[in-house]
Amino acid sequence: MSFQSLRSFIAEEFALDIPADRLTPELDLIETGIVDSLGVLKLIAFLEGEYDLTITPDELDADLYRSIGQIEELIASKTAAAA
Amino acid sequence: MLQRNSFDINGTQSFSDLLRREMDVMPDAAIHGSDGAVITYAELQERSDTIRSTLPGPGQRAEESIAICAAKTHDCLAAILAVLATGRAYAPLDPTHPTARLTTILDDLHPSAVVVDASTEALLKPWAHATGTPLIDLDLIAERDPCVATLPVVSVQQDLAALLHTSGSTGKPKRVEIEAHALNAFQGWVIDELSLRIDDCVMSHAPFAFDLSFLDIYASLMSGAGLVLADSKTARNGARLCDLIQQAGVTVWHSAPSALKLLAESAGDKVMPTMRCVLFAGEPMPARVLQRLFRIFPNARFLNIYGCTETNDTFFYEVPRENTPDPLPLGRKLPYVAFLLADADGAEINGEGEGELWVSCPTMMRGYADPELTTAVLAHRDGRSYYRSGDLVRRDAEGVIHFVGRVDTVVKLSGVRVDLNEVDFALASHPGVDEALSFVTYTSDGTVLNAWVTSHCDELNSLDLRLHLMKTLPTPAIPRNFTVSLLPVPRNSNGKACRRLLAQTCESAAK
Repeated sequence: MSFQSLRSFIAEEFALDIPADRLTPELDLIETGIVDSLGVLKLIAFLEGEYDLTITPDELDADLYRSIGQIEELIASKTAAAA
Repeated sequence: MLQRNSFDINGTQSFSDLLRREMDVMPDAAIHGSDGAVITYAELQERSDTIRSTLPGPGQRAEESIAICAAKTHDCLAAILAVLATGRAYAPLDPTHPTARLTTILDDLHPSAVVVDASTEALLKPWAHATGTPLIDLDLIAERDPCVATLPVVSVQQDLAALLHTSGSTGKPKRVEIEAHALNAFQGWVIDELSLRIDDCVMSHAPFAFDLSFLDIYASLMSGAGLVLADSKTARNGARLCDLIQQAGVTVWHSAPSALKLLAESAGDKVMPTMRCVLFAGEPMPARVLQRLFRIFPNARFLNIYGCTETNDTFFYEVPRENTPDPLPLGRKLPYVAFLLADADGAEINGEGEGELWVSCPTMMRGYADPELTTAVLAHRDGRSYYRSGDLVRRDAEGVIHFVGRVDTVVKLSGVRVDLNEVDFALASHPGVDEALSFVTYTSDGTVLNAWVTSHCDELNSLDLRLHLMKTLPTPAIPRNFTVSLLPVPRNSNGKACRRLLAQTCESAAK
């Protein structure tokens, strides 16, 4: 699965001036303030549309979206579970 | 003037005695943790005694404190009671704050000890070692047998009970000194106004390092009500909060509006009829969130509460379900409050009008640790000391008070008070920054923090700035948007760097 669109979304929505190579999979998006609580909701709306997922109320937890790596894992596990 | 060294309410010698006596009346009242575990008041007291037995004995200094930097658990609450029972003041520190910020506070505080848990122990160990301050690890105490020996109870509580820290205009947070009398006067009002009883259950959402927690802890324990302790992870999770409300049968909610927004988004079609009081404070409540909350909590009264760390709560507004005003007024003063509106020269404004709100109340802080700061915010009028709130308010024809704006650079972001000067200061300390000015814009989603940064460094981007700010500022004080530019900070006609000019430019660009 390609996560390019996820990276583009984060770059365009939250980090326009940050060079792509600095958005590493481990970078903590919450603690750096790149994504705030409202940003998490935008991100979730994007994930549901882009990857055809349903995020349950239990998963509306900012801690699950701390880094690009973590978000990619979440998408992969949800897609695998749905298949 | 408050009485000193003479806490005497119904024959008790200290605030801690009074708490213990009230808690002894309801030994079986329940305290719910974020993990679902429940303990009783009696078990909390037992844990508190065990923790107390590990705290250092009284020292030589006149007013001692013990800092508490730990996750919001039963043991952390027990530690607060334990510190109070030694006659000392407790200084709760937010474990989610940057370590450099915590150690700046601790350097200034010189606590007799710091109560930690396994995760904060690792962060504070180098500081404790360098300063020779004992660390008391709650996670190690938890493995011990409960303390069976009866400990001597300190009969006199020192004046000070709690020390809170709030954003200052430079990198150093201001320490606010709060006396036992102030906490006691406050809990008395809460219990009266809400008619808090043993069949209530209060949701404690705010971290213990915030003044909001005084209501949660002291009004609950003094009235025998149940209590739910939401830790920092739970506090951010709307679905988990909904579950806790239903599991524990929460009847009183207390938080900043941002947490209620989270809850409204996660609740779906749920209706929670047990809730009878929803209290919110700290920032404006969006009207559309309020409408959703009316539906989720059909039996609750809604109170918009106004206050600050220095005075605790001073105004409140009972929100009507029909014809709800937007924005909500601050409302009317609490019974224990005296206030006046002052113009720019400090002259009192009578009747309808706009001015800075000055308040005087028994819940007021003794002062900041820095007496110069205290002098700057206190005004004396007719034998009373008033705290100059820095809030510009309007009194309407009915005598109801409305919020207008600030007279200084302090803003509320997600319920957290942030001085924009502190953000500027932190930005300017980055070697690549020539000049910086932070400013807020108001959107339908609430208050947004932005920053203009002038830099001649080609490589500098917002990530560098974020990583730099993270070292000293709490997350809410990190701007959402950065503009990094070669151009200098915009100035007004007097040549002064102008936040309003930036905000106006930003807001008109968004339209």
